[in-house]
Amino acid sequence: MNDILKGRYIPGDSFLHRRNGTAKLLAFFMILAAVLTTDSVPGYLLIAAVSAAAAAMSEMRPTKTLGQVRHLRLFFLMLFLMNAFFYEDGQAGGLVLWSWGIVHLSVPGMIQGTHVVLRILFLMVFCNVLIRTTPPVQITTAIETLIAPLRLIRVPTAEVAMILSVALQFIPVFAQEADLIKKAQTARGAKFESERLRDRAASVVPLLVPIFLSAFRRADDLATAMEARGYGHRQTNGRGRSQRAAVQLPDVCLFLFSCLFFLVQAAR
Amino acid sequence: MSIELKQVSCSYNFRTKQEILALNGISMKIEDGEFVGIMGHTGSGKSTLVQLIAGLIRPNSGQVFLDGKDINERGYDRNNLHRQVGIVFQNPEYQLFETTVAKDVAFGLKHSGLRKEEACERVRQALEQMGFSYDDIADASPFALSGGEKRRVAIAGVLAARPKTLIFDEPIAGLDPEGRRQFLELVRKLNREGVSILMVSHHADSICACAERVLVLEQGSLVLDGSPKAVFADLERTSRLHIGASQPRQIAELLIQSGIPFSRDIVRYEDLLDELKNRWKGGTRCE
Amino acid sequence: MKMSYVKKSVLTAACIALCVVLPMAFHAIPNSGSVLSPMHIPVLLCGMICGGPFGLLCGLAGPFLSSIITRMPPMAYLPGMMIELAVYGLVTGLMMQLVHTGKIYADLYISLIISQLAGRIVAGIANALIFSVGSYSIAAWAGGYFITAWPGLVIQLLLLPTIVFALERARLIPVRYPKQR
Repeated sequence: MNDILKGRYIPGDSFLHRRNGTAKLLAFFMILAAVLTTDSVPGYLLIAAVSAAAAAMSEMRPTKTLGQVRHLRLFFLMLFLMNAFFYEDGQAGGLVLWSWGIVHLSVPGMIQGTHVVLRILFLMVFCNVLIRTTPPVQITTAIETLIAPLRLIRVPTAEVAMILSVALQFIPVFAQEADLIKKAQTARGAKFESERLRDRAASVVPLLVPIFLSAFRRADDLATAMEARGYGHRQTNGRGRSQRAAVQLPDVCLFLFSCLFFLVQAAR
Repeated sequence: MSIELKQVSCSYNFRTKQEILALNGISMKIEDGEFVGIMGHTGSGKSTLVQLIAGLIRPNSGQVFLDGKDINERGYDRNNLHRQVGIVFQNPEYQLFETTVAKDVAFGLKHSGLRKEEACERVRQALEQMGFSYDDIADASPFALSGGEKRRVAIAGVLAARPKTLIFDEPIAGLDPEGRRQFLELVRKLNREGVSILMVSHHADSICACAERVLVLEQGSLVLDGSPKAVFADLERTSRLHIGASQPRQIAELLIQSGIPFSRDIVRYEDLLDELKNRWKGGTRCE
Repeated sequence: MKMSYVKKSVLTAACIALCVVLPMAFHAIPNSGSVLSPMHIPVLLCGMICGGPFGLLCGLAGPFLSSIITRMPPMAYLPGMMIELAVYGLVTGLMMQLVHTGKIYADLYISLIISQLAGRIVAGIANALIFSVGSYSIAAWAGGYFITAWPGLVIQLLLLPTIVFALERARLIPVRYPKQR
């Protein structure tokens, strides 16, 4: 059952697989910024080149990097239409093709819609590359590292790190228990589907209440055990801190490259 | 009701890289009214086997027949299946959810089409079977009960549907000796009343005390199928299969090893007692 | 009985884990995901029981972990959802601290309704900004978002008190209004 924690990570030994999680996450944020500032054809071509490079460095087939896009067809269509019909931002002069009340089908709107759809598509590519080359545990470790400076503004980052690592440990346990509860209630003749809204709420109670009870029972036990061992009082001991891979030269290069990418896109 | 498995295989993560074969081509038949113990090392496929029979998971290949009907065939009445086959998991108390004990026990009867009085009567009987007084407990909150009481309420919730086959998956784990004795008494009584019992357990003593037939699984295959006496005849084999042996059987083995001629057929305390009584009489006669 | 800091932390971790597990558990049940919004329940509960800051953390971390582990929600929806759930967790926590009517149902309903209103409005605006659909349509987007989500709101109003009562009776969380003896 521990398989769940691998998430959508695909084990491998590519260049990106071997990179430090923190470096990858930072690079991802830089690329995110770069993608969001892009609004020209050469810009998109550059992004396409970089995403192809990312796919190559993670040894993934470029089509795979698109992942779930197919399921989101409608979402993208709606996004485009929303922009095409509602875009209006003061900078008059755009060609309006058709207009009815507050609905205007305009050329700038359609261009804006294309931008939004393209940007989100590219973001999903980079996101997929990140997630498929980095196990969830490494991503949370990277987040722990990145939020550490927030301690200066009195955010209890050590506690947040502890909570995240405990949550990760709970997931496979809870998943197994939820599965068992579902089977037990099915065997007792439960039906989890219903037409009417009210009944639908009632039909999930046999599942929901036991899952919460067993989760809270486990949490309660763990909290008691942690207190008994003297954890608490806002101390910042090492619990929850996962092993961190050393930062290597290629990690730094990866990050610097992403910064460069952002600067190029922003300066355009 | 009779249960028959034909070449059943089942795996998790089917057709992926991480495929794990849980059951590998199992065929067997369990007759109406039998008391079958199921043993095996952790991960040998015991839970998968009973969940297949209860219709909670589907095999990747092969068929499961209840009373001669394939339960995974299209159009098979699953509600009927769940009414006929009851399953009690380890820690059944985790399935409680209602506001009162009576409502929780009645949950399984909701979709059964029974009249209200009939359903109510079944709830009363199920609770009394588990040693409760209906009037004392019916309106209590199941969450406010003690651990042992919760477990008995949960079992009552399965009994209320009056299944013809009852499956217990590790029922005695975590019970104290008195709770264990009461539990075994209950299953034996149910079995005498004609309910087929399938009991998965690591506890060889309990299996030997109740079951008339023992199935032993190893890595998804059925490796032994026979009476407790036959299964526990060879202790080297049982220890290799990680199923141990009952205390009386171990005592008998110790006696044999220390040079006292003793029967290897002893698996229950009653057997041991009978043998000793015979010896005692025989001994006085001999000397 | 007051909960210790450690206990609140671990309960928050449990709620975050449930944000990942519940959508998986309900996945096989047709249509449940879209109407039931199973991820909302642990976040609201976390805010209610552990307080606003913990609820906020749960609302941010829950959908994030779920998205990287199970791909529900898809990445494109993730930022909006994180904002929405964070507001839920924070606002329910704050409301439960502010509102003490003496009746637990009243407290729960007031906190739930206000937090859900706040969360949906903020999320509607955030989504409109993220997908930059143009200034005109923010109101339309937020309104549409609110209308499509109302069945989920009703279901949560029905479910949450049930879960809270069960947890109170099992003595897993402190009773809000203990009976005077």
